[in-house]
Amino acid sequence: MGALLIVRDLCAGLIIRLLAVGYGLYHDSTNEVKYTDIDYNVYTDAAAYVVKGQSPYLRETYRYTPILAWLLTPNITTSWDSYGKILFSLFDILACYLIYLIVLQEHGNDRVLARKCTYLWIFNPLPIVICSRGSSESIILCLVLAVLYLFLKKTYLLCGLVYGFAVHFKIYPATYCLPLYLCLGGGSSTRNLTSVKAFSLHVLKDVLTLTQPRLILVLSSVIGFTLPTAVCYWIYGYEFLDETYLYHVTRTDIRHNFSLYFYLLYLNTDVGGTLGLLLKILSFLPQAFLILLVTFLFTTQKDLIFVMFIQTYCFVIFNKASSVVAAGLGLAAVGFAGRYVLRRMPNMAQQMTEAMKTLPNLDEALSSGKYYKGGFDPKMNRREASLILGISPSANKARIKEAHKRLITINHPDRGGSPYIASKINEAKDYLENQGGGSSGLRR
Amino acid sequence: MIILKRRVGVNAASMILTLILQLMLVEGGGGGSPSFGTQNELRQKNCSLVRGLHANLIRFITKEGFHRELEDTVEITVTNSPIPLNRFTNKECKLAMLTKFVGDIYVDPYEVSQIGGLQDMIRIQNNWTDLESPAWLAKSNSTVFVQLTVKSTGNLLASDTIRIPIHFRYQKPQSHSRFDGHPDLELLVGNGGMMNPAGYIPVNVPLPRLLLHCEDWDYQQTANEHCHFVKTLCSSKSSVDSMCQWVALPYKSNSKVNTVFIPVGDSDSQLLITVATFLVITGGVIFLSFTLINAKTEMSKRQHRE
Repeated sequence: MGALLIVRDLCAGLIIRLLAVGYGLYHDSTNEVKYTDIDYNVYTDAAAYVVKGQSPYLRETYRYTPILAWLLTPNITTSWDSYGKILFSLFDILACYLIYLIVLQEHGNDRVLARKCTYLWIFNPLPIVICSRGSSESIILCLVLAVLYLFLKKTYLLCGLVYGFAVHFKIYPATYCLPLYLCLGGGSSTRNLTSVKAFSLHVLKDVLTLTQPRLILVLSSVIGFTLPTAVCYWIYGYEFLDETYLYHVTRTDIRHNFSLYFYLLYLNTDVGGTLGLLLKILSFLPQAFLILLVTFLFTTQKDLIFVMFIQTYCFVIFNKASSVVAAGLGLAAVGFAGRYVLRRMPNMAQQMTEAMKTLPNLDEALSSGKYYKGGFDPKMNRREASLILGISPSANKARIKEAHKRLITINHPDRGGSPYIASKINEAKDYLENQGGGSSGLRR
Repeated sequence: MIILKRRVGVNAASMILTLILQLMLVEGGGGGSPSFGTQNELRQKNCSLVRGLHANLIRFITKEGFHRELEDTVEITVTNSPIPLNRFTNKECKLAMLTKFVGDIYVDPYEVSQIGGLQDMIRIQNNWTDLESPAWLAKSNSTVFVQLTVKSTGNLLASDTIRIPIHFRYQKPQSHSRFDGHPDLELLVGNGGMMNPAGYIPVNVPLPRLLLHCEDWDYQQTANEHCHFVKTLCSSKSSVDSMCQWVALPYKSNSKVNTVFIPVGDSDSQLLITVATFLVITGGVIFLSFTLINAKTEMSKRQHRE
C-alpha cells in the first residue's frame, strides 16, 4: 500500500511538470521573454548537428558531454521539441523516487516520513520550473542521488560506476570524490580537536589507509569515468575534452553578473602578471579551501550527505559562473543556517523526523486498510499515542478515557490479549493525559 | 542609452547628442568608422545599372540596453531606370542587404534561425560568432546577408520591414570621471541629458550595403560597367560555392546618427571593487571556516560525554 502511495505522489509530480511544460509552450508563443531556458536551445541545436552526423561542438557554447545531445536527438527527428523537457521532467521524478529510497534507507523504512520528504522536491516550485524550462540539471541530480543511495546500500561497485559516469556527464561532482573515499575508512571515531597536529596526522593516516571498499570504489569510479569519456574522445577527439572539461577550468567569460566575482573580474580584465595570477588564484582558492575543510572535518562523522551538501553550497556561492540570484545573500544565509543547524546537529535528525511526523497526514483519509510498517517508536510520542488509541491528538480527556477503556477491554491480558500491546495502550493513554488538557494525570 | 526629459525639445536633444558625440570623439572612446563602403561606391556616378533607382533606408533602433533590434525598411523610387519595374516584382531582379558588424556588435545565428519569417531571408555568413567574448577580445565579425522581398505601388518599390535582433558586447571599463572639468559637461548634465555621460560609451551601428542583382547579368557585361560590385551569396538559401556579382546601390538613410550608448564599467573603482570583493570573500571564508570548526569541536565534546 505504501509503495502505491509513492507512485501516486510521483504521478502527481509528473502531471504538474507536464502542465508546466504545456504552460511553457503557451508562454513562449505569447511573450517576448521566453520560458524556455536558453541552454535548451543549445542542446537542441547540438542535437540537430548530431542528427546530421556532425559534431555537437559545432554549436557555440555547447559545453556538455555528447551523450546529452544524443539523448535529445528526438527533439529533431520527431520535430516535437518538448521531448527534452519531458525527458528532464521524468528524470526529476526519478530524483524524487531516489530521495524516497534514500530516506527509507536512512530511517529504517519509515514510509510515511520518506514520502513527506519527497514532497519537498515533488511539489517544490523551483525544481518544477527548472526541469520544465528544459535545463538538464535533473539528470546530474539523479546521478548524484543514485551515487548516494548505492553508497548507503553499500554496493560500492555500482556506486563507483555511477559516480564515474556522473563526473563524465558534468565535471562538478568531482568534488565529492574525497568525502566518498574518506567515508569508507575504518578509522576510529574518537577524535578530539584539541591538537591540530594530532588531528591532521590522524587524517593523513586515514587517507592513506586503503580498505577493500575504498579500492573497489576507486577502481569502479575510474572505469565509470574513463569508459564513456574514451568513447566520446574516440568519436569527437580533442574538441570534446576541451569544450566539456578544460573550458570549465580556464573559463574567462566575464558576463556572469550574478556571481560574486563579476565586477571584480570585469574591471580587472586586462590585469596581467603577478596581480593577474593572484586574482585567478583568489577566484579559485575559497572554493577549494572550504570544500577541503568541510571534507576533512566531517567525513569522520560518516555524515556523507551533510558533507556533500555543504560542499555543494560552498562551491555555488564562490563560483565565478554562478547563476544563483543572490550569491551574497546566500553566503550569509548558509552561514547562519549552517551555524544553527550545526549547533543542534546531534538532535537534528531526530527533530527533523519528529517535525515531519507531526505534519498532517494527507493519506489517512484517502487510504483505508493500510497498516504502519515498522515497530513502535523508541519513545512514546503524541502521534503514536493517538494512533494507538485511534483518536485525534487533540482529543479531550473524556474521549481518551473512553477509547482507552474500549481498547483495554478487548486487549486485556486476562482475556488472552498481548501484555505488551496492553502496556502500550496504557502508556499511550498516560502520555496523552499528561501532555494534553493541562491537568496532570498520575503516572502509573 | 540616452535619458532625455520629455520637455526638452528635439533641437535641444540633438544638440546634446552632438555635444556628447564630440566629447566622446575628443576622448577617442569607442566608435569606429561605418562600414558603409567607399565614397566612390556611395555615389556610383558612372554606373548605368543603378541609374534611376533612388533608394532610401528607413531604420529604427528599437529596445533598450545590450539587446536591441534593427527595424529596416528599404524604399526605392524608380524613375527612368534601365530595369523595368516588373522585373523586381517577378523576382528576376533581387535586392539584398549586406551588413558587416564589427567587434562591438553581433547577431546570434541561432537566435535568428528561431524567428519565424526572418529565418528564410537571413543568412549569417561567418561560421563562428564568438558569442561570449567582450568587445575587445572578440575575434569574429558578424556578416549578415538579408534578402529583401519587395512590393511595388506605382513607381515605388517597398521592402517588407526586417527586424534583426542585435547584441552589444561588453566594452572595456572606462574612467567615469574622464569628462570631469570639461567645459561642456555642466551643460550636458544640467539640461537633463545623461546622468553621467562618462558612464556610457558610444557604439556605432553600421549601415548595410544595399545590393542589386538581376538574373540576366553575365559576368562579361558587368565587367564593362563602371560600377562597384560586391561578390557574395546569390540568395539566403544558396550555397557558398556559387557566388553572385551584386551591384552596390547608393541610398539615403533617415538615420543620421547610428550611435547607441552602452553602459560601461568604471575603471576608477577598480581598486575599491577589488579590495571590497576580496574582503567580502575572505570574511565569508573565515566565517564559514570558524562555524564549521566550532560545530566540529562541539560535536566531538558531545561524543566524549556520551
